[in-house]
Amino acid sequence: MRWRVVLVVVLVLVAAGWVGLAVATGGGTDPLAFRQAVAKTAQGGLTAVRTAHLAGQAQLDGRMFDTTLSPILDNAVEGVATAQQELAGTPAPGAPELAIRDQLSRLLDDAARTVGTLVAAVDRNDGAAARSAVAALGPLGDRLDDFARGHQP
Amino acid sequence: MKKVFAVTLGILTAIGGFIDVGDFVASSQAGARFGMSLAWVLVLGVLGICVYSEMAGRVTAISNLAVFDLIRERLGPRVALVNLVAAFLVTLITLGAELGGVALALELASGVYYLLWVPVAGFVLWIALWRLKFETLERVFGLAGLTLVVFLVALPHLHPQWSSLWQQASQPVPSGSENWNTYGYFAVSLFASAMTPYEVFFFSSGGVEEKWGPDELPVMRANVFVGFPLGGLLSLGIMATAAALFQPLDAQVNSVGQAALPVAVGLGRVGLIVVILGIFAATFGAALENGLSAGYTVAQYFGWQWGKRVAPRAAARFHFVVLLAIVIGVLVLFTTIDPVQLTEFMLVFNAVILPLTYLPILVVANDREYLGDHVNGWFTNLLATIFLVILVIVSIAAIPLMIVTGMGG
Repeated sequence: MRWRVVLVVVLVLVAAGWVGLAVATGGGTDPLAFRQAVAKTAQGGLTAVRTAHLAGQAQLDGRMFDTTLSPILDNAVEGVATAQQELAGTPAPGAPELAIRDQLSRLLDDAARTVGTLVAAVDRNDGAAARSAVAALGPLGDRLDDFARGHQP
Repeated sequence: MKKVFAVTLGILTAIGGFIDVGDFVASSQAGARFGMSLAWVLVLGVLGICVYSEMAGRVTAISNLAVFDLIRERLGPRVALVNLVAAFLVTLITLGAELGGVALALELASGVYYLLWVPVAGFVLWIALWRLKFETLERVFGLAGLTLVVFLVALPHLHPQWSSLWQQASQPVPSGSENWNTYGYFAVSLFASAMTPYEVFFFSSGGVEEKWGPDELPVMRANVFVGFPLGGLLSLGIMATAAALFQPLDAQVNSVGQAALPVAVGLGRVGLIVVILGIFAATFGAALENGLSAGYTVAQYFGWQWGKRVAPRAAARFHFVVLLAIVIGVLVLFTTIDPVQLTEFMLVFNAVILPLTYLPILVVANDREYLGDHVNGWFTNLLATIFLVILVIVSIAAIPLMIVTGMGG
């Protein structure tokens, strides 16, 4: 008899915990959670852009092999794509947050385009295009860095 | 002269063999995010592994028994089974992470996607464990791992602000936007990377393989007290180059290619070749040690014939466990889990089981039945007890910190 009571109590507690979790996570993103998600996303984009910049510059300086550059740039492309995906899955709780999200979204779009241009230039062995993409990645990284610093939770 | 050569070779092997994928990932990530402010954790971890490896080595040299043999004998089969299950599972995860490191090094060298290298690496690992002698395995990859000294060579070429690195090292607090939770998480990872349990299983079982006796105690101590700290210096070099290149740019490290980047930037293509060779040697060497450790722990617990000194036919169950561990390691990577993420998991779970590994060594090292006059002195016991308290704290904190920070955030 006693084990049945214990079983019922355990089941009720599990069900209550489950409902509590559903309520806590189902009411949209609160401003703090939004800021945390945005900071993490911006950091992911920043890391990818800085890495692509460093690796691309090393390649232009003759310090890198194509075989090594390729996986590093692939990781950078993936890093930006992941950041974009995470941002898309982060609903903005209000109008101010929506503006922040749009701002970061534009930066990440720029990052995806510029890193993609670098990858294409390296694939084509187009030195001029690679140089131009690497030159653009520096300031873009600075803008992402400013954003990340300005939106710490 | 022959003895000096043996000691020098042993020390060099210990230095090169100290680094594995866990040290590589944890040191790079910590350097990029916290500069040198977590350097003290590495120093503490190296001191800890020295204290406990010396004990494990002494126990083996005097009793001619490896750690797991003694755990079962001294603590009984039930307690030892808990220990075995925990150690074996963590060794499997570590083996998977090391194989991932090998595959990523090959990807950096060839440009071919790392998952295509995983079965090749697993097969070559098995052949090496099956065919090569213990000394050859240990020496070749230990010495090749020494090439990671290239991080220390690259550091001045990155023109770091030395005063800033020193200031970070002397102020152990989170920097910039980082908080205490992430600082704690990376401290736990770094500590676990320095005190990885498989290192002790391998070290003590290796002692049995090499037939250590009381005469080998000075050589063993030279390996531990000179080789391991110099190996720790390589970890500090990895941390410092990441701190010099990535931290000022606010960039984090989340791939092996990124971690090798400071050497390419500092030393160019020659440096890049050397660092890729170093990563390959360090991870392949650690994979060999983990493969053997998986076999050692299980065979020692069940009392089977084990070791490289025994013909494979006579130690068939030992070799089967080694093969099984490699297959599982390969299958873990085939789930497409990111090897760096697997390494991060591995470090956390290593941290959790630290007391389970090191407490029995402390118990046995105080047992006069096994060690006679070679039992721990008061100073060793004091140090070991302090470290045991730290190990328990690290073990308790590891999972909550992983959850709170989302694996470092």
